[in-house]
Amino acid sequence: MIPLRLQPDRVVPTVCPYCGVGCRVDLYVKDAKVYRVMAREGPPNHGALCVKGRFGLGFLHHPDRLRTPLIRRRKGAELEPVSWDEALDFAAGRLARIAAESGPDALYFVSSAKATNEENYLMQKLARAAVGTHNVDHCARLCHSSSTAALARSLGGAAMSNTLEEIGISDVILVTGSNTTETHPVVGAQIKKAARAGAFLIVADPRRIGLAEAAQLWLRLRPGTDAVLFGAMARYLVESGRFDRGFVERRTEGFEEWWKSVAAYTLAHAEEVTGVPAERIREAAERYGGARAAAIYWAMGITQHAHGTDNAQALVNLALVAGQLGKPGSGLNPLRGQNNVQGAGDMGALPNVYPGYQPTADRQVRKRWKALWHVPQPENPGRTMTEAFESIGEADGVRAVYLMGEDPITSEPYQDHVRAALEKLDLLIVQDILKNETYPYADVVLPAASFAEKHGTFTNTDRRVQRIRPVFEPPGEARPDWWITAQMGQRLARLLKRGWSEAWNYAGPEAVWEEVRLALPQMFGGIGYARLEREDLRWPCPHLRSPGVSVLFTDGFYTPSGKARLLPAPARPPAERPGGDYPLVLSTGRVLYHWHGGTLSRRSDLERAYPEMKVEIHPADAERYGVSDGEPVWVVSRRGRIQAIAWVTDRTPEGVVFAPFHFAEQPANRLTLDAYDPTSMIPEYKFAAVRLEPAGTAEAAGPG
Amino acid sequence: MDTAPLLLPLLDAALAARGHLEPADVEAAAREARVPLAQAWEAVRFYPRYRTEPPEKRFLLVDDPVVRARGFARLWAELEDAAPRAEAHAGTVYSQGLEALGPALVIEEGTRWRVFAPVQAADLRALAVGKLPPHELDTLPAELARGDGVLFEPLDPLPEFPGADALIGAVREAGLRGLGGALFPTWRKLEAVRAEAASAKYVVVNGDESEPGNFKDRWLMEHNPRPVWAGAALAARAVGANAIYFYVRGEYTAAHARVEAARAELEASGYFAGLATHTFRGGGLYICGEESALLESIEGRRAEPRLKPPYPAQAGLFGRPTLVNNVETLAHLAWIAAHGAEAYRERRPKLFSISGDVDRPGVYELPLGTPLGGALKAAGGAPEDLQAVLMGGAAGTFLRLPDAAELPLDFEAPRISGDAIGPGALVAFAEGRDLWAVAEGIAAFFAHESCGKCFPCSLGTPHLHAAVARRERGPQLEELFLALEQGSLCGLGQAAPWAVRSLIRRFEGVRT
Amino acid sequence: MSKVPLVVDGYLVQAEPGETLLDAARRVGVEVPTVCHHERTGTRGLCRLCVVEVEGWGRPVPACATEVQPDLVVRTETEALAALRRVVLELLALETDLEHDAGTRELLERYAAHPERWGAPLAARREREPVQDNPFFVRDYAKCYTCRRCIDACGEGIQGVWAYSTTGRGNGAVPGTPLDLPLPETPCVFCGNCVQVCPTGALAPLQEVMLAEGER
Repeated sequence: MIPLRLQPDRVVPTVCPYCGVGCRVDLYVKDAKVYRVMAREGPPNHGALCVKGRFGLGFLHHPDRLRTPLIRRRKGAELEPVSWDEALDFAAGRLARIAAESGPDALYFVSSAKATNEENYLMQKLARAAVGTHNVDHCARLCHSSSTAALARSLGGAAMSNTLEEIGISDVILVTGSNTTETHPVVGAQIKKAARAGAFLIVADPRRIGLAEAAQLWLRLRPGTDAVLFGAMARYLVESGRFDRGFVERRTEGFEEWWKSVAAYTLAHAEEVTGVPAERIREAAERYGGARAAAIYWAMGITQHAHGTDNAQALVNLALVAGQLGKPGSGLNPLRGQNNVQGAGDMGALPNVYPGYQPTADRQVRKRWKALWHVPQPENPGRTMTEAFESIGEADGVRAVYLMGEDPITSEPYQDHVRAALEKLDLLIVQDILKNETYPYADVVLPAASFAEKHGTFTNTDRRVQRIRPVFEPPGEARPDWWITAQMGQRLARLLKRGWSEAWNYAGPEAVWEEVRLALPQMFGGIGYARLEREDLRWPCPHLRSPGVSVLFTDGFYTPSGKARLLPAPARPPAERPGGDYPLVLSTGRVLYHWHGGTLSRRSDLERAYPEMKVEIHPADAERYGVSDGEPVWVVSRRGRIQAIAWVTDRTPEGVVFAPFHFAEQPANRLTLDAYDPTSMIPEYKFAAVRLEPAGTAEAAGPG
Repeated sequence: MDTAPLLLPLLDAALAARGHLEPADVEAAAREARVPLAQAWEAVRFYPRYRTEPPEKRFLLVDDPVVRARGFARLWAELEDAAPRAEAHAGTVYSQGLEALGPALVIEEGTRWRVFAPVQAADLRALAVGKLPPHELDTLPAELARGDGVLFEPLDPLPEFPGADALIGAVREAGLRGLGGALFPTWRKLEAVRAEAASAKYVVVNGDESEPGNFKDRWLMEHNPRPVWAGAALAARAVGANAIYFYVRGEYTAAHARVEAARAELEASGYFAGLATHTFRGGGLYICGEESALLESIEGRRAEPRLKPPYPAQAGLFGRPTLVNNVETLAHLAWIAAHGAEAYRERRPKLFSISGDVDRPGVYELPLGTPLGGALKAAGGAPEDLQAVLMGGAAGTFLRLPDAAELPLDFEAPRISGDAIGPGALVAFAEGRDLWAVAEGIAAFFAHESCGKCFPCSLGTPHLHAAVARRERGPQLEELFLALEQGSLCGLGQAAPWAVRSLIRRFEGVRT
Repeated sequence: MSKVPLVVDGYLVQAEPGETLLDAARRVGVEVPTVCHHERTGTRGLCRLCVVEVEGWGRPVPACATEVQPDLVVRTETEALAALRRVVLELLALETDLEHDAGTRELLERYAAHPERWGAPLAARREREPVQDNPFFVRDYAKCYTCRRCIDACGEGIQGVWAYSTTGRGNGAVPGTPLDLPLPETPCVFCGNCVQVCPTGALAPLQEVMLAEGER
């Protein structure tokens, strides 16, 4: 019995809106206010939560909630409140006109990893069916696109191969590039508990993060040297005969070419490059390779590099030579950031794939979708979000951007560049629940319902499809994203004469989901709303009696040959190297108390626990550059400067400054550079050259 | 886990250096012992000696069953009056194994702990003018061991290990039982630990003698520790243990020093070949004597009893199979190894701590089965002039004299009436002594010593004390007895009502 | 593995090996009272309300911490057990503010408890002032009976950060923090899993406390 001070009007079971773990929660509501959040039993969170999910939902009630549609009739005018019809007509009309003038590829649609599966499906359908462009993407571009690129080309699947329930049965757990206890705290606690219960925990991370303290073996590698470390581990396993020969022979291809590519990666070489003693690399390799079941978990520390795909590929290669795939407790497990980033990808909110990761480049695929939607499908490849923003202002560049729940000013790299680009747009539609940093640039503002005000499904990091339910009514005239997008679809279909506008008449999210099931029977055929009321389900779940597959690749990989591909993962230096006036490395990331651009977390009680930006500086660097703990400091890169409070700590290694990117007023992404991974187009968030200046130094000195 | 240094010795070192513990000391100790700071802080806030403020000078009147029967209130009033004038704080401290010497005083200054016994009211008054009581003592006087006793004699040469089967067989044949009070057959524990397959096993010597009225282990540790170590080493070899921890009651500084000296000597002589040996300073609380709580305190946690099963024989110290035996038991074991089961059975030696209203209080080695009256007579007591004996200790019972004079003091006979010899304490009370005052002291003792883990004990013992202070009887009190005895997690709470219940039943005629 | 047959209050139970008597009793709809046990924490055998009698065994044993064995005959409700539980519940209610702990209040009724018959409280519990040292939850220890679920959830049981210490002894034992620091200065990560497992409402979300105070 829960000891309550206040009897709730109702208790609504739903899913936490923060990270990809997808914790199941009960929201206690009184007078349209959430006053208590309790974790539900069972997977994935087993009765546990973190501070964000439990105490960070204040944004639902924040005065910055958008309540009315707004339009800016011409550039320079004020935003003015209008009816939904007027706003939608205005937006659709402008979009249609730009499409007519410059072609459908002049429009860009940014879907949202915070929105439901149904809403993501509709957003990409809006682009592909109603407008006729593959110009749709979402923020996974900025987080795990490197992982999905590597996983897709090697294994044919772009999700966690195993599940969070298996954490307890791995005898070795390797975590790299993930500050799990802060970014996926519930999983972080589960991993720590597994380590206490006897699992051997290896953490490869430059920072002394929480998990490093809990690890039996901590490999403190230099930033940006991941591919060498994992390449050397794999090479050592093969060379010492400790690799899984049978697995490599039966289930992989490309060994010879890969083997040549790691020829130089001896333990001694790896020690020289990574700074990790060869002995420790050897022990890590032996533990990992020798385990009955060893799992790898990783996140942005691997992916957000100009060579992020190579980093992820190095992990894939390691797992393949060790045979740590296709069995319980093993696997390649990218921890997804946003609550529904898995779903956004699954639903095809990506420029290169339709829902179900069906390639847009494949003619047969396009034919299928044409048949399903009754409109011709575009052949031009879509732009990634990063490419789209680069193109703004160019002759054949993007002229209109429709943002659903996305705030590029805080999340995109090289922020001043982004601001300039937004100003050049002919049309910017901001559809969000809150006034975010991009809001002032909007020509159309569409107030959206939050996760607590609508029905739908989220898919968490381990492919679990979960129902969300409304707790109360949206504020003012705010409407669910699915409704807004469907309204836009009706109008655009009519204006652009693409299909029937009636095709956009959805009774509700369940009707959208039924269309998804119909389109992707192998993935979702067995997952219906009725079943989700009673059962825990994950994809792939092809029929109504399937419980969903937990361990992927037990029999074959999802590649044409059924075999996994070992691919060279050459280590490349970072795009910008420290030296001269910028002797330090800047790495950016998250802290426990905040989320992404801070739009949600900074409008909740979380802000009270962590109100201002702190950068981690090693004591030796602090001394060298005259910085004191708790004092303000300037962090300066070739692109700009920000001020923050110095946190002098050996959490961060010497030579590396760590800055969270949640703070719009001191945006870490003013410092980062617009260098991109050639495969995934992910920006280099984890490596930029900077210097420190004690505050009091005149800002006028300027960057560079 | 068992490779990091132990927490309590680290805290003790910091305490010795500074006189109290600063946060930095606790943090450093936690780091070195590789335990969470939260756990180190639990230890600091559990064991009384870990002060976090510079200590005041304190005069502590020793509160035990003997002094309770002899005008505790008057002595306390004197002390309370005198202490402030000597710029000291008046307090009490529970039984220090000094029952045979009469009322005792502890003066605590910094980390220094000086013991004076016996003290008179006049001595306490004199404290006000800066005069210390005349009789300071470091150890129990050696001559407190009265008469003959094989356990009083050095065991020379120390016995060789006769092999596990032979040793355990002899212990079994000798009928040795756990003499810390539980009276569990020793050979069974030996067999149980021996039967466990484990890479590490331990022997722990329980020298945490804190049961009021008992001081025989203290005497052994202070004056004859070698046979105890010998018994521990033999037992370790028999069960296949690789290390011995000798846990000495926290307040017994001299005993600790002498046990450690004996260890060093035996270590140097090669007697411990292949065995790691440690002398461990106990936490300084009654509950530390409970075997699983004792293990917790070695591991650096709050000394709270564990749930059983698993028993220490299966999962004891650091989760490994562990033999925990009392000091006296191991001395007996060594003697059995040296002289054989038959010689042992002929003597059936048992140490008794006899105090109170007898002429020659002290430690006596008497054959098991000696009648209670005979034991008292041996100590110069006259059963016909006595009204009662508290047998066992605080966790014991009052026996009515002369009714019980013929009761044989052995393992079985007292059970018939629901009593037990326990560790062998006999506290005699002459006619006219206020047994309720004694019972009240005992109830206060349990309330003070409850660890706080299980609800019946932590909630019930203070209410038991309040009820005894009110001299309450009746069905409601019986319900409290039941809740404590049947509900408590460990022997402390279970035994808490025994003394007062025996008092009510035997001396009040409430039930017959 | 094969099932373990035993009898609970006259019902035959086919229990799973390794299951506790508490689990086994639940299988036949027998709800043994307990306030310290929680599925997610290692706290067991503290409150002693769940002690049950097993035929042939001496003292009653805690059902939450005793594994099933074949052919046990278990009684969960006897006069002696009821008397024992009544006393523990009465003392609990006497010493602790159970205003929000409807679960324990229900047990007080079930065992016809009369806390007032024990006179005045002896523990200092009820005088403890609420601690509000963080933006997320309140620690109102007047309502705490030291079941230690929070302490275990914070450490071994769930979170593994160890921001709580049990301090003091006897009826003065209470959850505290390392070095008595305010929670923000401890390793606390404010996951609130302590709030989740708290049975008494001593730990409560600040939003709930404020909203409830507004209602008064």
